[in-house]
Amino acid sequence: MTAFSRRHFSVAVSAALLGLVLFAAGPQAARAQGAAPVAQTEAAKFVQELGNRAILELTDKTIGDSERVDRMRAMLRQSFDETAVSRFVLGTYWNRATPAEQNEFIGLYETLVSYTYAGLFKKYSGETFQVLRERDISGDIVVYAQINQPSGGQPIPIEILVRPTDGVYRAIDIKVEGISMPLTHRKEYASVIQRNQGQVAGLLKILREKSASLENSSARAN
Amino acid sequence: MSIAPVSRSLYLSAALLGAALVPNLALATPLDDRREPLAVGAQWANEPRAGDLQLEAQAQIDIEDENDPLEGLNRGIFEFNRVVDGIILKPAAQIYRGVLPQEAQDGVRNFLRNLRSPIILLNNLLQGDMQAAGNTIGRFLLNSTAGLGGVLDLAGERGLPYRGEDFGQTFAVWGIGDGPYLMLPILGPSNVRDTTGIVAEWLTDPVNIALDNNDLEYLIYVRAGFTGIDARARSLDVLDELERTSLDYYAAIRSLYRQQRANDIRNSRPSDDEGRPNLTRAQAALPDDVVSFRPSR
Repeated sequence: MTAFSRRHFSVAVSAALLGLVLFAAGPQAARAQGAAPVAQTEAAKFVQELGNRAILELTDKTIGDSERVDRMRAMLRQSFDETAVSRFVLGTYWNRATPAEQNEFIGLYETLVSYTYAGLFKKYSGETFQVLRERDISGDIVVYAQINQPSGGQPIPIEILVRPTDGVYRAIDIKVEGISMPLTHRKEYASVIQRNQGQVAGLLKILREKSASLENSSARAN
Repeated sequence: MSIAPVSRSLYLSAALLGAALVPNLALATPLDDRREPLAVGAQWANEPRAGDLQLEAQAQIDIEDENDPLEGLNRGIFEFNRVVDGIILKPAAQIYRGVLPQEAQDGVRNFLRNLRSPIILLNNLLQGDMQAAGNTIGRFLLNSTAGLGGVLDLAGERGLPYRGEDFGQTFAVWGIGDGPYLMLPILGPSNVRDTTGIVAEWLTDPVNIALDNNDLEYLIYVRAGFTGIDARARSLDVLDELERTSLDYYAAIRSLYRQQRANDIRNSRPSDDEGRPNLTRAQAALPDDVVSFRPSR
């Protein structure tokens, strides 16, 4: 009887403890699914910081358009491998361009991307950025993340391809909902070059005009 | 200017005719000419890294798909669509967004999505995706009743989010390629496979058939109109931004449409995810091929 009751007691206590643990862990586990990153490796940390910085600096409602563009440009220079991205965007045309043309392209492309992202982030408000997991593809790392919307709508899936160079991480591709901006630009610019007798110079001329018109409209807005 | 109430059968014959004619053009281009050699290393001065190869392989697949033999005609239709958009669709979408509060817009979208439940279910089944079929049924039952005929997306709030399916995606899951790119008047970017899917949906959609059989055909057009305005209203900012920063708007839209559809077909899973079902062979083969293209040391 005593033995039984002791066993009974210990079973009851274990059950209660288990229940308590489950009860306490339940909501936390659920929250962890939606909040805490899986493992904070260097690449994941780099991407989390990049995302936090983008949302903090670029969605700021107190700054003007040109300040937003400047901030985006600073982030591109610091956290992106602009040469690698430019090479990818020009594709086969990279090797046909002269070094001077390659350099000019990197600069003009930086301007265009700064305006594009600044324009997109301007519409954001209250979103949060969250790294989910990562995958090593021998040397480079794909970091999967999402943007959580304040309205509680479906999170927006993000994939960032990160490259470690001399111990420094830099992004080389970003996909939003499966859509890559560099890939879109690569297709678009190939079309522009083809429609300009296959000349990179033709693309650069149009890029110069586009970049000037973006800068003018931004200057007028301020 | 108003869109003439073209009789449904006339519209269908035209679309079917187009779908029947265009694939022949695809055959005129030998496959080898549309595919660039996979000399991926050549683009990169230094030794290519895995990420370069992944990007390249992705780009190569897209080049293979570039496939736009009707580009001249498509660009003409694209310009026509931009004019129509500027006169009718965009202003309507702006008014719609400006007048209706966000909750009402969401209600309209939820209602329209709920109406698509039978066609989504059919496609879930045709794709052999039983789990998605279950989700579609669950969503339809809950939203149609407690969700006030679909106006409220209660299922979405309870972890059963909307996931659209259409015949174009089903054909892709069956392994049918997308065929030449097509710019459809009013309806916008498409390809032969997806256009065929639109026709198939138009023919089989039980909601539209029921409306047709009860002399309520005009409601089919009301529904189509609201679907178009809802979609346009939600893409106002993104498309404005794209138009503002693009050098070749047509080519940008063409690439975006491809990537968007590939993402839909993958059901938004990452292209190189481990647990990837329902991929076409080319997509499924990507990650392993990328690794095998790496130069051996």
